[in-house]
Amino acid sequence: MNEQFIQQTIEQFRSKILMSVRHRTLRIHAGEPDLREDRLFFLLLPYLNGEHWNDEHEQSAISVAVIYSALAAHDQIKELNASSKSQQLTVLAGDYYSGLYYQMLARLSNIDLIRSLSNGIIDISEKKASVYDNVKQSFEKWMETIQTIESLSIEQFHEHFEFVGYHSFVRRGLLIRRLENELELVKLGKSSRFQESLAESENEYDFSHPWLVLLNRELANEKIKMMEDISQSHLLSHAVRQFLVDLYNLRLNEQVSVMRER
Amino acid sequence: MEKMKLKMLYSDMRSDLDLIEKELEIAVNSSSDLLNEASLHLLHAGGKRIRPVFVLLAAKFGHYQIELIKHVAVPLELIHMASLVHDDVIDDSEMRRGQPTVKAQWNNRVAMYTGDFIFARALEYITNIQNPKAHQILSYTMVEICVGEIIQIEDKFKLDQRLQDYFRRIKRKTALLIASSCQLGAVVSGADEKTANHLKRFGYYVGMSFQIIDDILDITSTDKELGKPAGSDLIQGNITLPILFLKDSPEFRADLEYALTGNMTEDERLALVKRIRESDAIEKSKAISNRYLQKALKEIDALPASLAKKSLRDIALYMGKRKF
Repeated sequence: MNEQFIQQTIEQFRSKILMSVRHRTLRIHAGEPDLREDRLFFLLLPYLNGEHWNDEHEQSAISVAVIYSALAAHDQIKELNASSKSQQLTVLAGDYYSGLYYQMLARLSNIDLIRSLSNGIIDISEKKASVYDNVKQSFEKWMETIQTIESLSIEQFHEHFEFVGYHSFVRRGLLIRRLENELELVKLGKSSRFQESLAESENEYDFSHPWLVLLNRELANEKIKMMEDISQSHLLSHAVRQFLVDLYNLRLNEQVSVMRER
Repeated sequence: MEKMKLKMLYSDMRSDLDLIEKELEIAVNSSSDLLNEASLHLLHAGGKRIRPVFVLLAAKFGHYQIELIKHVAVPLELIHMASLVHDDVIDDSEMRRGQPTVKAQWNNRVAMYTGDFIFARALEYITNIQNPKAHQILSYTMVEICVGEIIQIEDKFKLDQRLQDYFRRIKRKTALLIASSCQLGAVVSGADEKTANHLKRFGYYVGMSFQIIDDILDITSTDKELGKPAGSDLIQGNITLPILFLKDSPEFRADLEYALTGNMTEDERLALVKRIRESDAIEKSKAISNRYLQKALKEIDALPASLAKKSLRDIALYMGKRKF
């Protein structure tokens, strides 16, 4: 297995998911479902790393990817004035994908996984709602909050099939991507509810530094830890390691420069 | 008054329905204050709870155990609730059952997360049922409901639809979930397949009749009774059965087209609603609703005599005649 094979496998997986959820009207008006490469990679990680993988694993992995598409669709709904046809159908796209993920797992008669994943969606919805609920908490708690939002469903899938050894890569990887996205928004002069919540928590929780500094630091630290995890891991194959390094633009010299800054 | 009548019809199941109500409150309990408040806000706004009622009554044709069947009755109401929260975003509705909607009280995004939360709770709850068939029935229903809603949006503002399009739409929008409520009640309580199928078809026909009545009431009720302007369906572009009966009438065509432009004044709306009420479209629609009702009653005729059978019949008749 090499990096090219990993890339091809992810693309084939994406095609299978698209086939499972295809709906002409939704595609035209709500767009394709959100199937981010890093999430697909982490879902497939045990397989890509040579673990035993059968049809049930694959079908279940598809249903978890569909959950992410469902939740991502609802994240696209505007807080106010969502009455355009495109927004209306995006609401329904999310509901449709939710129904499909349940149907896929019901067909597999995997009731335990339905329970575990729905439990996770409860947690994720609660965490997403926290930015609208005037919640103020420490910076570390906010990091845990976004980590749950980003990675819980994949972790539950891995846990169900006893692939827990991959958890730390999933948690760290998806946190890094979220932090990068948040910082990209800042660069573009935009904000998010999450950033507003961080700013509101800053005074009350007496953050050691302004939230933006902490966010940058967290990203740098997580990248270093990811690099360490990758280099020390006996679990990951060479191809998977290299793919992860490329996926997150991890460079050894980056690690060194960040450490010097600190 | 209407709610009183309904309560009387439910009187034999009072204690079990009280239990379901308490379970619903527990089910929507969240560690998020916001989701807790939004879900309870919705729950306390009321509702007829017809889906749990049908689950319980259908379960009486098998081995009835409230501690088991509550795991079906509660999620079905939760799924209905979750769909209402999202529907209010789609329809941009400010009020429901006389209360501000979740999206009006908070915002659309909070409504999204509230719906997702309630929906996930419903699935978590129903996983107490280990019978895979129950999950296959419910998941199929949920997907079909969404497909129905997607078609409804596609068909919006299209006056030239066939009756068949309307019936397919309301089948998915309403009838399927009621049919599944009846079928699931029977399947999970271990009723035989023939009985479960009769109950499923009963639910389907009742659901069709119920939705047609709902569409009629949108025109014949007052703004106050509805908690929203009469004729809202038409204003929002939803073409219902009474409108389909009038769309080719030279007296109505131009006015209906004008109503769909969204430029109607309040006076014009009230005048058009009044004319539709006075037309024969209402009676024609009622006749079709009644035909579905008769089919529903015929389905339960085949079932053994029992108190549950009488209750199903009474509730179906009530729903076919309700005025609000």
